[in-house]
Amino acid sequence: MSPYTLVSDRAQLQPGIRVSEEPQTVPSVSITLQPRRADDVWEQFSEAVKCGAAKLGFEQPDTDVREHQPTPRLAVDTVIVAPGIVVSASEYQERYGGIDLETLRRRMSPAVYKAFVRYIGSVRGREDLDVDAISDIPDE
Amino acid sequence: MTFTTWRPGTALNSPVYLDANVLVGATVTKHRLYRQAVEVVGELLASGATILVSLLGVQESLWALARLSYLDLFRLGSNTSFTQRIYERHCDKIFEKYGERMSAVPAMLRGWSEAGAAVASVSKTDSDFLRVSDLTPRYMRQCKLTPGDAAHLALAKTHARTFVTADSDFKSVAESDLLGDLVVVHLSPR
Repeated sequence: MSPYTLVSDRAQLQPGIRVSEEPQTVPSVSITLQPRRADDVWEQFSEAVKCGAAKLGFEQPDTDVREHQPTPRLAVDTVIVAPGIVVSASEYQERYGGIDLETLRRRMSPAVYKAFVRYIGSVRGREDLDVDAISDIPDE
Repeated sequence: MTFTTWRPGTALNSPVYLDANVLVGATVTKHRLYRQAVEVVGELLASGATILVSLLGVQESLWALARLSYLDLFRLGSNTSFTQRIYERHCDKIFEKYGERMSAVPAMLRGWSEAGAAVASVSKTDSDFLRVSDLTPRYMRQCKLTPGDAAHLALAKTHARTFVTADSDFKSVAESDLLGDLVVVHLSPR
């Protein structure tokens, strides 16, 4: 499986990742992967992305990506909360920060733990939100 | 009746009835009771307690998410007025942009249940329904509660040993002896 395919699969499987519903028009990018070392694969992938971006008018600096990314990275600053549930570090802090997940995980079955972490904090709120007041049935 | 503030380690004797504000509190982030709501839910799921919810609670949670969506849709302040008429006017836009969010609480309850947690709805029998119906106006009068709050209290009294809520109006009810052994666990900021 190519790195590009891996990213695509992951985006489809994670419920926490929002994908734009608007159709996006981008130049087609063709990637042909040959059996090579990981660094070569990343370089080829980067080159293809640069070509596609250049078609959109974005100048791409000619840098050696291996200085920064020695191997393909599927995601940056992500946290695996449970098998199949991966969130960004910032989302982790917002949804699970200060919660003793490890203790709860030990006390729950894997299925219940996964359901617990999947649904808590699934909606972004506000610091000044009064959850009791907004739960009243509103006036006509 | 006992009224106590939630702290980790507070006993939550099963079955436990959840007010709508707890369901919303554990689903929506950032607000000042989020952590406490998640702690309670985590404790209930970890201990295997029976979690009781009602259609009234789900209905109120849907109003809460509709209100939040309306505020987000037009970038309004949290204390902006929201009425049923406003909802009807913007219903399509709310669901167009926040349709997934509107299903968050029902999806959460279904997810817990399908994972094996004990989630049950009340009332299930005609006799229980009639008992709740009888108690609701009595609690409205004796405890000076709104119909919704009185119905939650009647449901908790009829079906549960513990009632978890973020509504501080129930504190005054604790001073009466109407509710027998029911324990009200209140979520409040630390």
